[in-house]
Amino acid sequence: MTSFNQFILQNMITIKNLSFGYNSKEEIIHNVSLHVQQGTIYGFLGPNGSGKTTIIRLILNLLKHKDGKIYIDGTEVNINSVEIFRRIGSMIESPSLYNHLSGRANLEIFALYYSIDKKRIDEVLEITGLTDAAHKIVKRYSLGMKQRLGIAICLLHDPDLLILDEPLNGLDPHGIAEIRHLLIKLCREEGKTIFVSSHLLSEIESTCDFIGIISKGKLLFQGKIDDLKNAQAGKMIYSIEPSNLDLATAQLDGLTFSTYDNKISVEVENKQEIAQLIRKIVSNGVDLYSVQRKENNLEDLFLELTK
Amino acid sequence: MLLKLLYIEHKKTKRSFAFWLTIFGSMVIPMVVCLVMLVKPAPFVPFGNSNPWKSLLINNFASVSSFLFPMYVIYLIGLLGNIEYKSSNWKKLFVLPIRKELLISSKLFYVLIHIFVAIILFGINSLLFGLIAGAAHPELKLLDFSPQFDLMIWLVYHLFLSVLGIIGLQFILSIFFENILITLAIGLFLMVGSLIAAGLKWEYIEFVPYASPNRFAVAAGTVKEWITKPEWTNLVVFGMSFAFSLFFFKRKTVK
Repeated sequence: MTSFNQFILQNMITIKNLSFGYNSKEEIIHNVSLHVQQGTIYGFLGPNGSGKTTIIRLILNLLKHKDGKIYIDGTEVNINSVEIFRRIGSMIESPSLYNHLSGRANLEIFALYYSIDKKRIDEVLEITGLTDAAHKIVKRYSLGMKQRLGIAICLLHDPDLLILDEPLNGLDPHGIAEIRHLLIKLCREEGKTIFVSSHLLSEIESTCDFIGIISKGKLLFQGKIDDLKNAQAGKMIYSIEPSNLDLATAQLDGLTFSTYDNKISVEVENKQEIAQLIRKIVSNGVDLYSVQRKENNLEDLFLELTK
Repeated sequence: MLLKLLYIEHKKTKRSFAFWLTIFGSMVIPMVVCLVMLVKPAPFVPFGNSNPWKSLLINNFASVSSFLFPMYVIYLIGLLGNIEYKSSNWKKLFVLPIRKELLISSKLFYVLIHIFVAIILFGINSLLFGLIAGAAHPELKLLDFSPQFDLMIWLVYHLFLSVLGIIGLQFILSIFFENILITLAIGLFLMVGSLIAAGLKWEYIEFVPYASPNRFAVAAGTVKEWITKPEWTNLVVFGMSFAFSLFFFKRKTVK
């Protein structure tokens, strides 16, 4: 067995040199390679339009790719997709539901497709907290309930891999917390591998074991969140609120900075450098209302990488 | 497997507009004819000792088959196709561990069964409302004769064959177009065009599937062959549509 074969068998998802375009002239996914380890939560992060959903559709064979390879648990997706789909539960963008039917009837339909005992319906309703709303027509469900029903459908056939595209979209903070706890529970207690895409960075930060950051169809980073933070650890970012933005920015020669809401976000190497900078700005007749060190959080790192 | 998929399609349709359209749609014309017979029975009184059920059934079937029934077929297929498009359910169906050919075949066969059941319901409603009219007006002699079930089955069979071509073509449109209005508009355009061509006695009208129900209406009750010429056309068109649906659906992607 070659080392690559061993590698793809160790991972639930392996993507190798994947490129894709809707037509031959315009490539929208550029040579993406990523891997998702078994039993982990992988956060797939990127701004809207970065190619997250396209890659998910390619993984699920909803779009056909020509360049590159996609493996699910060692099996290439293009070749034996029907068998692979027995092991995947997926929800792309919004949940696919029959709105004129009850939540339970929706689950019954998919239980029939997967030839699953009806007892499992009660179990997934329980897991997703929808037991009391099972007989309600889906049309009357809140967005959060629909998302949970979508996840319940994904869980019906007890898949090893869950692929969830923006499952937190449109949810209120309470709904976000519910889904987050559910994902962690599914991974830690039931050993599921979860591939979840989102642009809500705070959610990825607190839920995932690994992240992949994509922008404009290119994978910019893949690894643990701490690895990303460490990679940026040498830099300090300060937020400065001056009385005159133009005069203050004129003093920032040679430094990396950006402006927002009449404030400056500036990157320095050490504390001495920010002290010098403050003196320089003040000596040029600009008052400073606040100087604040910004935490090196994922939000900043993400914006930095994808800008 | 196919039977299970057909049952799933039935479950999806339950309580949908398509379901109620079939139930109530099959009642409308028999009920209207019944009301007319109740209000003004004279034109319906049979001559001599002829069986009044024959003229009642033929009139009912002929009155719907030229336009109303084909339009119901076009609308129903649009609605059934739209069930999957409405909540972008194709993306969910395509990741099921079921071959696409089976999925699409079950959908087409379900459409066939649904429409066949709709015609049977129409036939049964024609008989039931006939009995009501007969009970209210004995001069209609509807209670003096037993209902002609054999004629009803014969008419159900030929009306079904007459819309087979439309079913095949509209089914393809319903897969192609996400917007139900497009499939309805194309269907309506073809229906009206075919009726005009039939009115002008176009020499090739027998080869136009959308004119086939009109041919049935004109000849209802007099047809003796098991399969008429326009019905042969429909069988061929339906077969080709089925083959094309399989071919197209297998290559369908979800953008």
